[in-house]
Parts: sequence; C-alpha cells; structure tokens
Amino acid sequence: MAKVTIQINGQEVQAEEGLNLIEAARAAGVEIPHFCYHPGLGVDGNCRQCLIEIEGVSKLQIACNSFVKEGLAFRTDSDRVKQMQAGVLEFLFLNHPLDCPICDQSGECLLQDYYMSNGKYESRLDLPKHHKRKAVPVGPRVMLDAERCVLCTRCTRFCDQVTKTGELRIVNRGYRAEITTFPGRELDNDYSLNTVDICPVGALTSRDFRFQKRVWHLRTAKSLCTGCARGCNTYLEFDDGKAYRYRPRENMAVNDFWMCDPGRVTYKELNDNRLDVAIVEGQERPFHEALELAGSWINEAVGSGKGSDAVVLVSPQCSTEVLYAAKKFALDVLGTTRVGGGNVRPAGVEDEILRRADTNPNSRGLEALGLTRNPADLLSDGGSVLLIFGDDPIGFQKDLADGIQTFQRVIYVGSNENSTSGAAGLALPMAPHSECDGTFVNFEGRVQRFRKAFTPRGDALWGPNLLARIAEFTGDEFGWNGPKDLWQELTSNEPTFANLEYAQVGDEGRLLDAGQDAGRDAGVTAPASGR
Amino acid sequence: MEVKLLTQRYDNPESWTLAAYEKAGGYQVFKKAFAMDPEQIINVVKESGLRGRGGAGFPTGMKWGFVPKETDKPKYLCVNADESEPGTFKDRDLLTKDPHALIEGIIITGWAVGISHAYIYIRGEFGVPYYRIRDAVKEAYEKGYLGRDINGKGYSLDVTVHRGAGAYICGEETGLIESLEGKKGQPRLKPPFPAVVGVFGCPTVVNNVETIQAVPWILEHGAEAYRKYGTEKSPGTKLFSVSGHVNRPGNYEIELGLPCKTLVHDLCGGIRDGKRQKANIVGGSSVPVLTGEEADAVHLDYESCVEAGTMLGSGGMIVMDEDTCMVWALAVILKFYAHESCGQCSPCREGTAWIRNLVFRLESGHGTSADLDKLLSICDNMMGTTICVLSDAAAMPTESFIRKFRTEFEAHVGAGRCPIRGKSSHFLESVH
Repeated sequence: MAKVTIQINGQEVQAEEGLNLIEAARAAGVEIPHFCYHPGLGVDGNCRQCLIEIEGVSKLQIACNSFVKEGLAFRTDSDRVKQMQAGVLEFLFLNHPLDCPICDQSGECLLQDYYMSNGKYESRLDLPKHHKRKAVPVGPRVMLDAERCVLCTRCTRFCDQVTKTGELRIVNRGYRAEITTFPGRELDNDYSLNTVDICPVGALTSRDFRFQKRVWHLRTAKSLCTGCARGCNTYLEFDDGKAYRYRPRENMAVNDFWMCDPGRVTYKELNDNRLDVAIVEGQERPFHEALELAGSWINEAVGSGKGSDAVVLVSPQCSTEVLYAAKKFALDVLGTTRVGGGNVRPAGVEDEILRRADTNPNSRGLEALGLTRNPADLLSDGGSVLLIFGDDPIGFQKDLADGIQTFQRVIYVGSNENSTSGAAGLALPMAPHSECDGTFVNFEGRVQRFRKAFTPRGDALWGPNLLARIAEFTGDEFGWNGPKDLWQELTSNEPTFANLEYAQVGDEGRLLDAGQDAGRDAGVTAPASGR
Repeated sequence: MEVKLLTQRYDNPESWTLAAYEKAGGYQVFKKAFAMDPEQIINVVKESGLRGRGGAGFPTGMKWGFVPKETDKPKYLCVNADESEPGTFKDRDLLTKDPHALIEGIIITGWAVGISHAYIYIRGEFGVPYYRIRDAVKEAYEKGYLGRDINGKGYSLDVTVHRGAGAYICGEETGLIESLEGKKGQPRLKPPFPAVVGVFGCPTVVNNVETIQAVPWILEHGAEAYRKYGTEKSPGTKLFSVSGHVNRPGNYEIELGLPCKTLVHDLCGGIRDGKRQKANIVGGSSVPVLTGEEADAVHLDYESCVEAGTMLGSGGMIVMDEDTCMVWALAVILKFYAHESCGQCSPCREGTAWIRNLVFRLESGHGTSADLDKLLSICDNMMGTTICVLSDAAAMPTESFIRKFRTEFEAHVGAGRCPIRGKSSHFLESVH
C-alpha cells in the first residue's frame, strides 16, 4: 500500500493508504480508545468510543470505519472529541457494576484504562442500576457476567468469523440486551478461550484462571505453545516461579491473534508433576551425586569400548538447543552415532484454524538437525547406556518399554515425572521452556524463539548445561556460555540453520528455507496490538 | 387545502379491489412506463422532485440513481411498510385502501431500476393492511401484472410480502434489511449504503410506501404536473396523519407548504372543546416539539419545518391541548424509544433508558431541578453519535420539550405528583 501524508492532531505523519484511523493513529503513537474494533475481527462500529473529528466533516466520525487517504486531517484531542470520549464512557459505565475488587479483568480492563485516560468524570447516576445475570457458565471454560458486558460483540463475531460455530448471540433489545448461547447449547469450541482474551471488560472470564491471581502481580515472558507443531506465539504469565496462564501473542504469520483451548492448558505441565530433583532407583538423591553417577556410568561404557553401543533417544518435545547438545554429546562424549528420535504421541486433532495433528512443537527442528529416527528401531538392538531426553516414550507407547529394558543403564533427562522417568535408573531434572531461552521449529519450518520466564525449579538445569555437568566427570571439553553461544555454534555447524542469527529470528520467527518465505510472510503488515 | 393524488380513490368503499382499481384507470401507467427507457423514468422522478416520505425526505430519483447500472448481482426493492413512528398511520391507510396502486408503483420502480425481486416489509401488527396487500399481490400475479414476462415485455418481477415481528427499528432501512435476511433487526454501519450492498449483499432500493405510491401518478401526469403542487424544494403532496386533541383526526393529503394552521384549525376542525393548542409535534414523535404559537406559524414543507427548528418527518402530527402535561407526554415518548432501541450503540442503548428514567422520576414529582440540565447534557451526548438516528429520535424531543416547556418541568420538581394532572403515572415502578 502506498504511503500518504495525513495529519493527526496537527502533526503530519506518513500512513498507509486505506488503513483505518485507529491503526493509523496507533502507528503514529496516538491511542484512540475503542472497544468493538479488533484487528482480527474487523469493524462493527457499535461502541462509538472511537469518535474523532475529521476536518471538513461536520459530524464526529468513528475512527474504526474511517480510512487513510491523502490529505486527511483529524483530531483526537479537540474539546468535542474529549466530551464524547468521556460521554460514551459514561454510557458504558452507567449500568456497569462496581465489581473491580472481585473482577478478574481488573488491571487489564479497557473500561478502567479509558476511565483513567479519557474519563475521570463524577458519576451522575442517581437511579438504581439495571441488573443482569452474573457468573453464568456459558461453556466448560468460559464464565459470563452479563452486567459487566459492554455488548461490543467481539465474542459473537469471533464465534461467527473465526471458528464459524456461532454459539454466542445477543438477545433482547436496548438496555436489556445481553450475550447468551442458544438454548441447550454451550460455548464449547476448541477456541472458546479467545473470547476471554478479546473481551475488553470482565464479562467473559476464564474458568481456569478465575480468582487465581490479580493480574498486576503477573509477569510476562514471550513464549511458545508446545501443544502442537503450529507453535502459536504466546505470553507466558507467571509469578514466583509458577505459571498461571498462556495468552496468545499475535503473529500474523503463525497464529494471527489466537490459540486453541487444549494448547492453552499446557501451561499446567510447567507446574504439575515436575521432576525437579534427581532420582536414583526411585530415591531422591543430591544432584551432584546423581551427576557423578551418570558420569561414572558413561565412563564405564566408554572405557570398556562400549560407548559406540550407547543410544541417545531425543524427542521433538525438546528445544533445538537441547537436541543439538544431545547430538553433540552422543558424537563427542559417547562416541555413538545412534542418536535420534521421533514422535511417540498419538495424533492430535487437526483443523483448518490452527491445530495440527503433530502434537510436538519441534518435529521440524529434529528433522533439520538430521535426528529423525523411528524410536523403536533405534532401541531395537539394546546396548550399554541409554540417554532419554524429554517426553514419555513408555507412557505413550507401551511397546517401547521392552526396548528400553534391554539397556544396562537408562538415564532419563526431562522436566516431568512420568512412566519413563519412573522406569529409568537415573532421572535428572531439565528446565522446560518456561525456564530457559531457546527455539522450536514449527511445522512449516519457522524457527521461533521462546524466552526464559523464571529460574529453573529445584535442581533443574538447562539441558545443554546439564550435559556439560555430566561431562565434567567424563573429562570432556563440553559446554557453552548460554543459549546464544550454543546458537552461534549450531548455526555454523548445521547447514540447515546457516547464517540464521537470533536478531533475524526476532519476534515473528524466520523460515529455515527463506525461499518458502513467499508463502505466509508475503503481505504481512505490521502487527497491531490486538487490543 | 386537501389535494387528492394518492388518496383519489379513497372515496370508493371498494377502492382496494382489483376491479375498482382497474376501473379507475389502474394498471395502465406501467404500460406507459414500459414504453420508456428506464433511465428516462428515473429522470422524470428526479425532475418531479419527489422526496422520500418515510421521514428523511431524501430525493427518490437520486436514490435510484445510486444503484450501480453494471452489476451481475440481482437488484432488489424493499418497500418499507413497517410504519411504526408514533403518530403516523398513513401507510396503513394506503395499504388498506389502495394496495394495487402500490403494486403498480413497484412495477414501475422495478422496471426503472432493473429490480428482479421486490419485498414489501410490512409491520407485524398490521392485520387488515397485510391481508389487503397480500391478496392484491396474489391478484396481480393472476392477472399477469407480476411474475414472468410482464405484459410481453420480457421483464419479470416477483413480489414477496414479508411481515415484521414487531420492532420499530426494522423501519430503519438497514435494520429492515437485516430483519428481512432473518437476522436480529438492527441497523447496519454505513457505508456501504443499501444501493450498493443491501439485501443479501446485493444492490437494493428501500422506499417508503407513500413514496412508491406517488410514482404512478407522477408517471401518468408528468413531473411538471406534480411540481404544480407544493413548493419549489418540496414539490407534490404529502399525507399527514393528524391525531391528538383535534376535532377531526385522520389522514389528510395536502400540498406541501400548506400552513400548519390550515391543517389543524380548518381541515381538522380545530382543537377539541375550543381549547388552546399548547403544543404540536408535526412530523412524528421523534421530531422536536413546537409550541402552539410556533405550530400556527409554520408551513408544512421540509424547509420551513427545519427553519422552525423541527422536521417534517413522516407527517405524524400529534396535537396537544392546554390540559396536556408535557412531562407526561415526554415520558410516554421516551418509554417508547427506550423500549425500541436495538441496543447496539452504547449512547442509544444506555442513553434512551437513562433519560427515560429521569423523566419518569420528574413526572412522578420526585425529580430535581438539576435533572433538567443533566438531561440536556445527556441528550447532547446522544445526538449524532450513533449508527442510526434512533438515539437522536429520543434526544431531540427531550431537548425541545425541556427547552420550550421548562417551567412545566420545574413545577413538577418536589411536587410529589404531577401538578397538572393531579396524579402521577408511577412509570418508574414498572422499570425496576
């Protein structure tokens, strides 16, 4: 789109022709308050909060349905606009309950934000408020409070346009209007929790997150969903070493503004059933003892010339960095080429929105490092030492237990307690993706970064560091000064990742084969904030 | 005085029958129209100066001209028979007494604009008017005036009569379209306008019954003949539905520009029991009220009404005598608009109910003087800020009632009851 010159509050700026004025103003650093407009759902024009004054037009216009053209000049700061911004807020607040102290939206509520930025009037209502239904479970994961609702219809439009399931509707007219589901039906699609994200107020809240945490106590890290091969971009929100929720982080090349409900609950694995101490033969042991034991097992095998007999089973659940370190450990420390792995999980649900049948976040990373092997084949001949990285092969595929049992020594390195960690003679705690930096490569070959949210729990270590600690006992030169250092080595050693620097990966990710970039990347415009 | 163009057949008690309409020369004009180029017809309507009779007064020919000529989509006509503006009952009469004239108007409009299907969206509460138009459409099909290859001209037109389900907002043209499509009746964001994206996403003309009914007369007698009536900018005739405290309420077809005084005091026989005209809402409940004196001075054409600070609207004139409590009258009006707001735009959804409740409280005698200024301020925030004009339709009367009859409102403050009617309506109790 061509850039043209427009004026916002008297300031000349360049803006994309045809862009709506909320986005154009945002790009210029001017926030126009709005409720119903959402970049992923288009214009509806019902909230009337974004009224602005366009030069040469007598009536105030809504910014969401006005578009950039050469020479356009508009104001968001005139007295008339300010009067209406406060006036519309006053209408929206009129029957809104003063629930903030017990409302989960509090702290991330547009009504609160705009009241502080554009309202600050004294309440003029001296009549009883109109009451509507509260705490209505409209679906298994979403709770409705009809009196908090500003009827912006973002949720109904989401169910109409994105999932095309149309569960939500507005019934009744005028001040009695409220959101509801059809009789006998629930809001139970695989993406229902997105309605909670896009709800600008506390009308729709997550039944999972409700009353768990005041949002201003939460901190945020840019992360990735590990539920499937899509690699939806997320915000991982946490406090005091505990993950509380995922929220989708917009990436127009991957997940737009959304993520699925099953993916969203995967944050629980970061808290529950964690393997955060070393376990030897079912007994909790001091971490250094366990490392020493691992080192001695490996020394034993290597020293007796059986190192090449060892197997390193990796998983597409692991980050690219862990996979690379495991590969290098196999080749350099153990001296075995029997390293690799593949999917052990049952196929998931695939749909036309986001979900992929492959429930691993890093199958393409595994492939790009040349590590894709059938786990059963890899294990079939048994051997001296088996090193298992991540996932739960035994839990998902009972048959693999037989292959695993044929090894003399089994070391499990993972983040959660499961059947495999229980079966291993030695289980070592590895930091999951919430506790370290790293990358996954999604199904279309897009390298995406996730960021460390909090320090590893218990004795857990970043996978490559954990291997470096074992290598201290084997006397090998092994290890890196953190993920960036490892990445630099990886990109120079692995041709598929050649010249791919962190800076290039950025927040949107980067396709391994830039030639494929022509696909989804083309025409991707600067992402909006998603509010 | 009265000029009977659209109402010329009203005197015949059987005027609604096909036989009576044909006997009076009906279903001849469309044949004349078929001999004309569609563009020519649009020009005649443009020249006649015919303006939309539903309330907005938009030039009809111009509206037709907005429909794209080159399109592979079907074009639709929606006849707005969802007459719901309080005080207005002219279309009800037209449908009841002269349904075939509407059908002939539809055929001509259809030919001129290239319509393949016309819908008559009729107010759900209408009984007899519905049966009359339904039967008339059936008769017209049987006679070959509608359907395939009308009059051997190769032009086909279907007409469907669709009953509304009882919502004022479905009289707003895009609310009507949404409702017709089977959706919740609420106005659409514009642009795009219906002429480009209307029913089922196709180009659509939406016209009021009275507008379409004027078309056959204009085609029969020519634009110039039509322009002989009315004023320069408001040509032709208009039906006024006069109700309230007059001696002879009813529908009157008058030349536009007629002094309101003539309509009220001569045609309608003046105020009941020889009382004084306290107020007059000339164009339907949503327009600003005039005092009796202002009403007596105004002329009934679009421009004069605007000059007098009101609007001609749909011609639903409500006359109020000296015994009327203006607070009570406003309360009744606001009760309607709060009930009929579709609820999508925040200022209207919340505002209509808020000002209603404040006026209810004033009517009960428990309001405060501060309420009056508060009302004016709320009205200011409600005007011109929404998708359609229902918000304005509630705010404009409120603003004008308070401004013109403020002393009456103030007399209610602290009185504990309505000082004029001696009692109160307890409206508020029915709300919460």
